[in-house]
Amino acid sequence: MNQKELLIVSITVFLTIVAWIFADLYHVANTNKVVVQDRRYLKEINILIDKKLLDTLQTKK
Amino acid sequence: MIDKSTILKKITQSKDVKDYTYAILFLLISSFFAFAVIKPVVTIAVSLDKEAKDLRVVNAVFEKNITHMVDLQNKMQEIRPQLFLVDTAIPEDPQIQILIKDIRSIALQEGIIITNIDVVELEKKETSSLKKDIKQTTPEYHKPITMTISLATDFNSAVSLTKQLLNQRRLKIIRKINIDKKIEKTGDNYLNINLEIEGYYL
Repeated sequence: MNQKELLIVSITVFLTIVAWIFADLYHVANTNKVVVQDRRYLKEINILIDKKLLDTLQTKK
Repeated sequence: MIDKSTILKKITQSKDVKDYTYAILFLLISSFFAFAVIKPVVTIAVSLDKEAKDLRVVNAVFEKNITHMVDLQNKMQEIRPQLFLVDTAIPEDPQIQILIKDIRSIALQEGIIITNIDVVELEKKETSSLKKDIKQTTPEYHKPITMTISLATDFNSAVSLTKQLLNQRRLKIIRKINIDKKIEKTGDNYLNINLEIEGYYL
């Protein structure tokens, strides 16, 4: 193996490692890190209490 | 035997060889450092940053939910005296006897003869795994009780009965009304009305 071939191999190794690092970073940046026991807790609670409905029920027998 | 010093001399003397050697060594050492030192450090930094961002989002949702819950608790305190109305409208159990009693009392008031009451058997909804899955994702807030009632009455009483039925606190819907005109041999006219009523429970 002459010097030129060794240089090409070195460049390939270097580029592979750089690509590996970027791929790993992308993976880490897109993986959910926070583990919540129940995913339902992550939803916003949207409960509305309609007082008019209770008043309507009050008028019924 | 080749003398090592002569080989080293040859290498150091040629400029091309020198450049190639420096470049190769630089790339290999850089690769090693990038893999062994830079990658773990940057990965940890990005991972922690991502975790911090996720936690901030989760924290914001939790804070919003807690505020909302406190608000709901206050509202619940306000409506506590009226909560029995909700229990009456949609009870936890089917309470079919109360449902029938309500209908009977109206019929009695209006002088309507109830000829038949059929309660459709309460179905168990979890028949297939697919339905089970759907149930888990979309919770059912109320379950229906279907009953069919046959009445013998005149038109005005029937209208009054339906109005009063819908004016009761117990939540119910009239799904179907079937009206037949009957003429007795004695010459009396009356309507034979079939109602399909749906009540609800939790």
